[in-house]
Amino acid sequence: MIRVMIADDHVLFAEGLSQALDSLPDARVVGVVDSGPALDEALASQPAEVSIVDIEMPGGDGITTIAALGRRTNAIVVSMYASDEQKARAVAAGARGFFSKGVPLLTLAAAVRAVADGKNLIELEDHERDQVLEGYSQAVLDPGAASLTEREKEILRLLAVGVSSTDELADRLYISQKTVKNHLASIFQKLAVSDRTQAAIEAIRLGIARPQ
Amino acid sequence: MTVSAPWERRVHFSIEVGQFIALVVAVVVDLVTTDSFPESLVAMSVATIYVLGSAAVPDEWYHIRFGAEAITLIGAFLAAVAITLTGGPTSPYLLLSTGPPILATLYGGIRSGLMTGLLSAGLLALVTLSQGLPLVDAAPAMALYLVFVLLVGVIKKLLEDIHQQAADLAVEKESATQRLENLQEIHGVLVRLSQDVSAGRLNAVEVGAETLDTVLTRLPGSAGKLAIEGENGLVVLAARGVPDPDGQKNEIPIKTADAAVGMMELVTPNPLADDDRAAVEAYLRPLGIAFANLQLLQDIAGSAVAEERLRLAREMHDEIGPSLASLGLSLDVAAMQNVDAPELVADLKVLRSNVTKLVEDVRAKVADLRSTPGPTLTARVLQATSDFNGTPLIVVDIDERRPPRPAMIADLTSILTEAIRNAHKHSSASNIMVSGRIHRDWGSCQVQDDGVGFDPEFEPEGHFGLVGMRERADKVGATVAFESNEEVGTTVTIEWGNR
Repeated sequence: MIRVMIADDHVLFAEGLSQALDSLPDARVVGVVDSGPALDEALASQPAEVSIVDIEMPGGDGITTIAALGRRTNAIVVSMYASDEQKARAVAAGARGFFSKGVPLLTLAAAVRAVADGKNLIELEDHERDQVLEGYSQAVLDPGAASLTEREKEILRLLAVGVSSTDELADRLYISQKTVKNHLASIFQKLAVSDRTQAAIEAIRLGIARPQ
Repeated sequence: MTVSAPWERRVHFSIEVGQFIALVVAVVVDLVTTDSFPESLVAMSVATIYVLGSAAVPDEWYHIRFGAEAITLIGAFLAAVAITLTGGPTSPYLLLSTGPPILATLYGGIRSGLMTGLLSAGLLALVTLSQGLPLVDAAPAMALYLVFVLLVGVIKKLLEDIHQQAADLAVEKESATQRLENLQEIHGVLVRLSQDVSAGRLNAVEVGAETLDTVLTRLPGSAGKLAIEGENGLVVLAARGVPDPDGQKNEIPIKTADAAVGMMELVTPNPLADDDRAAVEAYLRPLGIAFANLQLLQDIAGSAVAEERLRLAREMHDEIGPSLASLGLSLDVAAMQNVDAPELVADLKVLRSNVTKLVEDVRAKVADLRSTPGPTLTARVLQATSDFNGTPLIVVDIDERRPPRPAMIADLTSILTEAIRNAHKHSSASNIMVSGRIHRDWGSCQVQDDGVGFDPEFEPEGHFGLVGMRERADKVGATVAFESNEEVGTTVTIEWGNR
C-alpha cells in the first residue's frame, strides 16, 4: 500500500485528487494539506512514500518545500501553470516527477507507483517516461489482499453492504458462527485491519466489494 | 392490516391440501375399524368442519392481532373433540390434529406455534388420561406436534429471508437505475457543452437556450428564463413558455465554486420537488463553469483590457483550471468504477478527452496572461540582428499594435531572424526590408530583399535553414511562404492567426 500526501491549496482539486487516488486499490491518501510548511509538519507525524505538491501555495513555494524535505518523501509536482523554468528548479530540488493538473488518473497512478518504487521520472523525455509508466500501469496489491479466499471475499462483500453481525453473516452463508469468526480473523490479518468497519472500507477500496 | 406474502399463501395452500388428505384417510380408516357409528359420525363432522373452516377463513384474519392464535386454538379444540370420540391416542384423526400448530407457526411464528402445539398436547394428555390409558401412548403424537412446529418455523424463517433479500435487491436495482439515469442526463449536457467548446461554438445564448430547453423538457407545463450576470446586472439570454399566473416561482442560481454567474427563473405549475430541483441544479453546474469561462474568454479577447480586469480574469482562470482538472479526475474514477458498462465508459472517455483539451486550453491562455509582458517582436528582431554588420542595410518597420502571444513570440523571432540571416548572407542584396502588421492573435510579416534570389523548389539540403523555419512555424500554427525571382530578389512571408 503506497501512502500519499497531497499539498495543494485549491480545495476542489485537492479533494478530487484525494478521492481519485483513494479509489486506487494500492494507494491511500494519508493527508491533504494546503501549504508547504503544513506538508513538512504533516510528514513529521505521518510518513508517506509519495507526496503530490503544487507549486504556488500560500506561505511559500512548493519547490522550496520539496528541497527542504530531501529524502523524507518522493515528491511529484502537479501544477496548473508550470513553466520550463519552474521545472528546472523542481529538478534541482529533487522532485521525482512533474505533471500538469490535466494529467489523466491512470498516468498519475502509474507515476505514483513508479516513484514509490524509486524511479526518477522528472528528467526523462516524454516517450521514455511513458515507457517507464507503462510498466507501472497495473495496481500492485499487498500480498495480504491478494491472498483472500473466495469465501473471505464473499464475507467482505456482505460487510460492505452492512451485513455485519456474526449472526446475520452465519445465516446468509449457511455456515456456523464459529466459522464466520474464523474467517473474520483471517480477513483482519490479511488486510491489516482491526474491525469489521475498517475491513468493509478496505474491501470497497480494493474493488472487492461495492458500497450499498 | 398486513396482507399475506405470496409465499405464505402458497405454503398455506399446501397445508390445506395435506389436511384434506389427512381427513380423508382418517375418515376411511375410522369407518373401516370403528364399532360405534354415532361417535364416528360426530367425529367425522367435527373434523370436516375444522378442515373446511380453516380453508375458508380469509388469510387476512390470521394477521389480525391474536388472529392466528385464536383461529388455531379453535382448530385444536375441534381436533381434540374428534380424537376424544375416536379412541384418544390411537385415533386416526391424530395426524389431522397437527394442522393447528403448523398453521399457528406459519402465521404467528415459532412462539404461537409452540403455544398451540402445547395446548394440543395438553388436550391429548387429558383425553388419554380420561380414557384410563397410560400417558406414554400419547407421547409420539405430542412429539410430532413439536417437530412440525420447529420444522415449519425454520422453513418460514428461510422463506422470509429469501423474500427480504429479493425485496432489497429490487430496491437496490431501482435506485442504481435512477442514479445511472441522472448521471447519463448530466453527462449528456456535459458532452454537448464540451463539443460546443471544442468546435469553438461556445456561445452564451445558444448554450443557455439549450440548457433551458433541457430543463423544461423535464418539467412539463413550466416556463423559464435564463439570465447571466453582466456588467450592469442580469442580462436575459433565453426565455421559453408563458408563465402560469398561479404557478410557483423558483429562482435557481447559476454558479461556480465561489461566484454567482447568473440565474434561472422557473415558473412551475406545482411546487418544485426536491429531486427536480436537484436535477436542475445539476444541469446548471456545468453551465456555471461554461459561463464563467465564456465571460473570461470574452474578457481576454477584448484587446483593451484594463489591468484590473486582467487581474480578475486571471483569478477566475486560476479557479477554472484546477476545477476542470478535478472534473477530469472524477471522470477517470467513474470510468474505472463502471468497467461493466462499456458504453458509459466509452462516453466518459470522450468526455475526459474533451475536458483534458479544455484544461490545456485554459493552461495555455493563462500562461499567456501570467507572463509579464516582455519586449515586442520588433525589439527582439532588432536585438537579434544587431550584430549583422555592414551591407546590406536592414530596415525593420513593423506595425506592432500588440506583441504576439508569449507562447509564440520566441519562435516567431527565430523564424524572422533566420530569414534575415539568409538574406544577409546569401542574397548579395543591397537592401533588406522587414515589414508587417501584428495584432496579438494574428499577424503577417515579410522579409524582402533585392538580391539574387533562389529556386524555392530546389532547397539545398540543410542549407538556408528553410526546413527548420517551416518546422518552427508548424509548431506555433504559422505559415511560411517563399517567393523568389532572379531579377527582383526574395520575399519570405510569415503569417499566423485569423484577422
